[in-house]
Amino acid sequence: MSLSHGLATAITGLRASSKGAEIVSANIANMRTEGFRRRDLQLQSLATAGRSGGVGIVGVTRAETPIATADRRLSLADSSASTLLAGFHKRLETRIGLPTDSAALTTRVDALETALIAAATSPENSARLEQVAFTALSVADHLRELSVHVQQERMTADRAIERDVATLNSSLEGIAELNVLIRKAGKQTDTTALADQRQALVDRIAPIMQLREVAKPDGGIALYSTGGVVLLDGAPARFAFEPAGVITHELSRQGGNLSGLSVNGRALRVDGPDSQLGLGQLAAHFALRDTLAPDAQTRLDTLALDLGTRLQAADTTLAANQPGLLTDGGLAIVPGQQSGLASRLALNATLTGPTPEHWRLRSGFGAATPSPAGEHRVLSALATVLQRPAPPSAPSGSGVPRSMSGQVADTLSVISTARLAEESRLAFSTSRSRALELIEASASVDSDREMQLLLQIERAYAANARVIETVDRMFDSLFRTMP
Amino acid sequence: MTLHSIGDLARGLVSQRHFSHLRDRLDSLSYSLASGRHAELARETRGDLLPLAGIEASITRNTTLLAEVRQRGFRLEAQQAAIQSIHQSAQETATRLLGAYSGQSAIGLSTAGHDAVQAFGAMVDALNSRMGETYLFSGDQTDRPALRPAPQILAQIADLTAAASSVEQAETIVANWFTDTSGFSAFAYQGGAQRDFGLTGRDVLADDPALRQMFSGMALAALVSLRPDLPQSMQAGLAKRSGEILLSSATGTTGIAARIGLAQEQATRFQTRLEVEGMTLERARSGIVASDPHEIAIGLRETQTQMEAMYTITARLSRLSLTEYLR
Repeated sequence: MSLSHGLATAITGLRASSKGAEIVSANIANMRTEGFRRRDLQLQSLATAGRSGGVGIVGVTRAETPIATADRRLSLADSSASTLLAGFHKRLETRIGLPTDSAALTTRVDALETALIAAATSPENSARLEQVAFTALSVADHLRELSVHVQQERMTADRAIERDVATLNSSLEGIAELNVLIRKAGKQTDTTALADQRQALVDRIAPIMQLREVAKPDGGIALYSTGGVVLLDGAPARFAFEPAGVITHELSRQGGNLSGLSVNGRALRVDGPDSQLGLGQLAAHFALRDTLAPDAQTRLDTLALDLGTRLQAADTTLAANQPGLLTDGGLAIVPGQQSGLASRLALNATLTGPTPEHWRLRSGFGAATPSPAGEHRVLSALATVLQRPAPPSAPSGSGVPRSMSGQVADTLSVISTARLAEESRLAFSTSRSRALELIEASASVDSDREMQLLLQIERAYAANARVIETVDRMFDSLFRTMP
Repeated sequence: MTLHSIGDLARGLVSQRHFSHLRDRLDSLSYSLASGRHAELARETRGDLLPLAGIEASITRNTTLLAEVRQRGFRLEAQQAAIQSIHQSAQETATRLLGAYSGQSAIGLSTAGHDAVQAFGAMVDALNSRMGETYLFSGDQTDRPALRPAPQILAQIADLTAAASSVEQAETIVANWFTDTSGFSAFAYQGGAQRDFGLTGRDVLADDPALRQMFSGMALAALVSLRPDLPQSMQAGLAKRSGEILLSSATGTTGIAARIGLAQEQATRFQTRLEVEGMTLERARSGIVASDPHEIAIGLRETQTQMEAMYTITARLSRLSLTEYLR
């Protein structure tokens, strides 16, 4: 071994140590950076001409947990979808109200029924007649508000789809650019920071739709949705969506008034068993806008129709197509025309305005003149008809005959059950993604481990320095022995 | 060598998650304790809210029906009181009339006749009595008195019997007027049709046949006072006949009283049933809705212990850092 070779070897050691310290400090600096993955220095012993020649730096690797990350992304899509759907059902449930709430729909229907009972015992008491009008109005108002809420949910979903599509497009473009940068940089340059950025972008897409990441040999990645759409393979896919702005119950995607989703100009199937979106936020928003919210609207319309027709049928004074206590925007409620009825349900016009004619509640809305003050037959019939079990007009819920308030409770139960099912699904996917997050976290920075490394690096540096010092002394003594 | 280590960030994440879980639990428990209800009703009933809604509806209906049946009870009581007073005054007047007949004195007869006019007025007033703003014996026309004022009715009778020259003639005319639908019922009765209250029976009308029979007796007696021109023998005859009619009408009014009594009994029984039902329903509701304070107290205690343990662990862990020891 030659002394100069020893010196060169020691210098590679010093270089490796300082590179190591640099990486440790980068790791420590990013201790609290989310999405940052631990860097490790890869070393290799150098050998030149059959002699060991010190240590070489192969490169910096980024600690990765590819399987856990892929699975975590899948369950992230799942849990974001469940969060959205459970939230929708929860909000609807809260708006309808649980049976013990004073403002719940069931409570309001009960109040109408009891107001009718009370009015039937004292039909001459105008306060009680007013109470009937007031409670009927409160039921109609509640149904109308719920209907507005449901359409509002659809609009929110529509805007959320627009946002998701924008995120999707910009993230895919960003990933494609980073792919190019990483490829151009080549193997020798440290591209781990670019990889961090790329992963962050993929994580932005992950909740929107379930995807798979495929690593390319040139350092780039390709992305495919589990529904079979190529999101990124060289060039990024371009998604297009037309937000509707205002949505009413008449508008639907099936009817051609609301936008679907297209990628690179090709329309995608966004619902049904062979949906191309797979699971995720985007599919959930489409389901909400095109299926769940319209379903809820239909349920509300059925309630409005059944309530209205029950009241109309009980009032025997009504001629054909004459509106009863509750009306379809002032007109008689006609079965078959209930689409959006919940949003049009109104109190009979004679009960509103500056001079409400409350006697009509007692005499029937078809009566020409007021009946005797103590006449209670119409009121009794109206009260009874709400209590009487009757099957719902549309096959919703159990389809079993129920009292009016029972029918409302049935509808509410359907919504509550759907929420609980979605929440238990959510609990499952959340605990799954938490477990996966923990596995992923093993690739983040552990300060203890870095400190330990630092100690080792310090020692290696000192040792290498000592080697240099020793070689230096050896040179010295060599030079001194020379005359 | 591959070392499995957990990052600092991950450790923070884990303890944060534990804390938020404990805090959620604390929130839900303290809500349950404060409100006395389950924080998550739908979860507690597994989404089946139909039974609860049914109970709620029954409780609301029960409360209303209870108020209504109480009110109906008061109304029946007032009706019963009116009928009782009518019945009593009819019997008293009958005794007085028969006494005057056997006394055969002109003053006695005119006093008895005068009494009958007074009693007639009192009967009309009793049947026109109101409870709150509703008349008691007007059927479905609860906003107007059941009968015309007594003087008008008596004047009509006086007109009709002006030509009658014998007790029999007068009695026939009066009896016909009270039974004929175009007579009393058309002229004096202003109320409406009978109302059916189902379980608690039908309303008694001022137009009831038993009451009309009594009115006819009283009207006949009133003629003694209204027609001072009649011969004393005929006045005495009228007093005797009207006294007899009034006595025999007692069966009718007792019948009415019994009918109202029956309705009262039904109302009371219905009220008791509703009260018992109400209690059962309340118990059923609290069975579904109410939270158990003992369970909550235990839960709170558990959560507190857990949180304290978590604080201790967090404090220890944050000191367990190699950086600290390397100084």
